Amino acid sequence: MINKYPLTNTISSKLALDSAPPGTRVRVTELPPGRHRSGRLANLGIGPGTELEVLSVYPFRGPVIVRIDGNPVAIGRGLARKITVETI
Amino acid sequence: MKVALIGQPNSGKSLIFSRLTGFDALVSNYPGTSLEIARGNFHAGSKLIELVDTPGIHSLALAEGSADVTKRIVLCGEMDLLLNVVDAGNLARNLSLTLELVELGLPMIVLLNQIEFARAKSIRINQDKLARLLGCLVIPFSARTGEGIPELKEILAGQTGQLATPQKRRQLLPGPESALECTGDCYGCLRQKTGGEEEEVLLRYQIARGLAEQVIEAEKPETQLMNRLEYLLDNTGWGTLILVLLAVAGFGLLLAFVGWAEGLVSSAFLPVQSFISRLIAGIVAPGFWNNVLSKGVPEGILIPFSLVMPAMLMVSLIISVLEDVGLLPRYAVVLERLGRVFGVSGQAVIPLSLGFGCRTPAVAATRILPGWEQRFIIVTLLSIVVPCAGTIGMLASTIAAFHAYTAVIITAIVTVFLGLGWVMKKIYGEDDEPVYELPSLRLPTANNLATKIRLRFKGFFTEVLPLLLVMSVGVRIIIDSGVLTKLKELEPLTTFLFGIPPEAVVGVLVTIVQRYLAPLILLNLSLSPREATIAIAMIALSVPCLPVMVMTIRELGMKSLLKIITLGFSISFAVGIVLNLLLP
Repeated sequence: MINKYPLTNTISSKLALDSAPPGTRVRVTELPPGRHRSGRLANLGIGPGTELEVLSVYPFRGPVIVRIDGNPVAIGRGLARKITVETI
Repeated sequence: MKVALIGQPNSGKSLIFSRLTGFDALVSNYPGTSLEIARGNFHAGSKLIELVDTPGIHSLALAEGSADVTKRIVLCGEMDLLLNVVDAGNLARNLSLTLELVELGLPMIVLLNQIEFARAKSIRINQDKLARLLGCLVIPFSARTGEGIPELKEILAGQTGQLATPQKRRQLLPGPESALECTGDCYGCLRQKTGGEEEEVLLRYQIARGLAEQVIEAEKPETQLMNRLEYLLDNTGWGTLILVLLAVAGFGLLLAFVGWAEGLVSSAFLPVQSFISRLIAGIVAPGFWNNVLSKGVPEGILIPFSLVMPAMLMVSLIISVLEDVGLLPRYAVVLERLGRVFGVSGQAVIPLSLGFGCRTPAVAATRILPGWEQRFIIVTLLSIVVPCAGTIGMLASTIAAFHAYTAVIITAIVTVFLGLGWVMKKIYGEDDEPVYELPSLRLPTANNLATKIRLRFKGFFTEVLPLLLVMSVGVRIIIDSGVLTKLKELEPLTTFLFGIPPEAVVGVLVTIVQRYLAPLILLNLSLSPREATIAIAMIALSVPCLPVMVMTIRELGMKSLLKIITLGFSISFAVGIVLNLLLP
């Protein structure tokens, strides 16, 4: 398969969730600090090690839509920016 | 026997509740429709079952907000049996809560709900294996088709208390809520080692995913029309375009229907009206009361049917369709960025759009928002700015009656909405980033739409019609008794400030009782288009009605309501003064 985003294809390259291009599969490596935030993410099954598929990234600092366990979930941009992921 | 429905948000608990008990529960396609518990009864054989419907919950360990109620119900020990509602098409996500419930060792039956949608997706679940792994009964279930209901009733009728209890108690949740003993390898011990409930919840999700993988035997790639549509909708460009077009179409449909229905109802009511008028004129002795009743009663009957009913019906229909298809959370995504301008999540679109139907349930729906500040912002906007279906109908007819400047009124409403939102963000806004699930798209069923429209329309006969009738007669009494002429002394003041006669200011003050009653006063005055425009704008941007006030006290407290009322009157008067200065 031709890689449309060669820069993101280096092994275990870490990036913020909102800079992962739509269509990529990523693994969460780090969550932002703060119990309230990570608690809400954990409630939807998102935590370190969780695999996500990035569906879309809305422009103008809009939310990031990821698929987890087959379900789309919207994550506000400010939060998505603080979630570190690696491409799979 | 006491039975509770427990499940993750949007797993279909409320539909099961109404299907079993026959009670109407509001059922929608977005997580967080039920914010409170509902109770009802049904018979299984000769046994009376008390059924409790609970707000959806992701996990007991991280329960917050409305989920707290559910946690209490599960842990209080009052329930004889839990019915764990699991969305069969979404097994991995839903089983994490199931695992948590299994750990508690409470008697439980798992309902593989919405099984018909899972089958449509060609998902085949080995239910026997799942039952074995969980150690409790698993029933394929569908509240829509009725599948599984006879089996469930049969089990409930013969249930002895042992049948449904999960046998595996190896992983328990210790703590103050549970007196059960821990065996050392539980999540609670893990929590102590790793230091948080989050790890516990995440670990359970991981186990749930493995469990789902073990029991799902076949799953075809999703090629259905609905799934393709969903892909399109979650695409930034196409999705936004489709949603905007739908919103424009919905608004156009509403306006067209209201205009069309008003003419139709009015002409159909003409003979009825003159009949009632003549009847009263014939019965009541000529004089003050004859005059008041023969004019006030027919008006009070016609106005609700011709002006309020069409708007209420159409708005209920449009909102119900948006809810059931699962579009509201998609609007939230598109409007997320705009919401930030007001310091709220795009999710605020759900209570705000519900407010166009009726603002009382909309105030309760603000519970889906994170944090008190965001709720207060949205309740304030709802109370002061958003017109409900009844208000829309009355405003539209008043505008038409006086040839008021529609553009000016809409501009005033939008300006206040943006301005108030922006100011509130400066005071109360916080940078709390939202996280929320998007439900699968579903075709609405006629049945559910009919139930919802009926539920939303119920207030028409119990509230709108009697209130408008009484008020219509009341307005007649005020006019014919000549009280308003005494207000003439205030004329210099009101004309100087707002450019409208004092009688119209009475209309503005009436908003404190019910906003859609206020235009009734105006309809009995003779106003110039300029005066009417100012008066209508002042009425449209005023204090909330009584039912909304009661709900606001319940949800946010008395202090918040007082703030909102003060703001409402200030804004109403400010709008009057500004329009008086600006309009030629």
